[in-house]
Amino acid sequence: MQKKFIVTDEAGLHARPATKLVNIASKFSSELKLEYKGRNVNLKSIMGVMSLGIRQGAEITIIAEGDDQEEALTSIEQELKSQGISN
Amino acid sequence: MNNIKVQNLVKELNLDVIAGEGGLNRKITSKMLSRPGLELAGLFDFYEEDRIQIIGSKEVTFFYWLNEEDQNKRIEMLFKNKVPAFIFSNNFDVPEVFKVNAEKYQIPILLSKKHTSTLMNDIISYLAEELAEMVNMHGVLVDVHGVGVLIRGRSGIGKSEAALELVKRGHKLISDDNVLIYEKEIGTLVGKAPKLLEKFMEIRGIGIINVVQMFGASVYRHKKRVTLIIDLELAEDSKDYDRIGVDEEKIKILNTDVPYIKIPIRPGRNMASLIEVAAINRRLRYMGYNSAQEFLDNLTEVIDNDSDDEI
Repeated sequence: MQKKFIVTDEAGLHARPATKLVNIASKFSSELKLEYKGRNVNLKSIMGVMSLGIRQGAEITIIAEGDDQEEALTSIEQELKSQGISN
Repeated sequence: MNNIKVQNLVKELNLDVIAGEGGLNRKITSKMLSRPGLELAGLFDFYEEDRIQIIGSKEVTFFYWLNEEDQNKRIEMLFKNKVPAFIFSNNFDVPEVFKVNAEKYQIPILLSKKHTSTLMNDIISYLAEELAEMVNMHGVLVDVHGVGVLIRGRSGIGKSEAALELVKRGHKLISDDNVLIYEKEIGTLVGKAPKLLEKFMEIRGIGIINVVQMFGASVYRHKKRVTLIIDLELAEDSKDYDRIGVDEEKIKILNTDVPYIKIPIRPGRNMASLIEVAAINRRLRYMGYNSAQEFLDNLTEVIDNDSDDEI
């Protein structure tokens, strides 16, 4: 399963939001990926996430596959919203 | 607080004992020194009699200006019971009246070849260390590439094993298991081993080893400034660890803040390599370079650059 988000954080997916996202993702066993402009990276890898240089206004897709995929996607969505990273 | 005797000072600074040998067991309690110039001039109201008295060229010259009666009277007045010792600099010829009183009151007269300022500097820095407030901490102190790393963590987590691997790579052990830490001055913490533990470490399953006998004299250091604290802890999935490392956490020991990092342990992680890298990273920061900051600056540049160029 997957879901699209628009990054609203002024700084884009800079170090702090990226760390938050990766920390949440690392708590689940599902395979989690982040897709941006046709490139996709492991959402549990901080360097991978930052390597995309995602800026404000960018559309990103989060893809979850595994036993706890629904729970993972819900938690990530909650985190993105509560941290003001995405709408 | 440490107990230090005049005898220790004589040994440490290579002083000659001229008279009053019976007083070498006198305790030194003050880190300060006194130069009794005013007292030689007859003013004893401000005499700091609990301090070591330094007799330099000014005092000696002035002493010879005095007539014999004043010399005898004032010198005897200098020999108050609390005075730990008198130290002459510049290899001066110690006047007879000092020697007589030294024997009478059993207060040692010591002699140094050094100039007065150098001598005072050496004594002050020695006393500051010996009389400094001391705390002891459970951990291992290792000199890794010149960085004094205090490795902590609960018993059995592998501190000594990590230190052993570091020592095998040529780094220096200061103390295993228990480290005495004192503040040389605010901002400078120095760690050393309790006397009995010097050069020894304990490795579970093997027992107590002497690292100098085993790996050579170059792997041991008597004391080292502590500039990094590393806590080893079992990795927990629910815990968030610093992934970027751009901010620096600090821990206060006595009155000094020391940079601090936590390293999660998992089977198969090479602790010695991780500690080496942490130490070099610390060293680079000390030299003004922060790798994490450089990376983040590059990231900011990419995000702020609106073009759709290939990343």
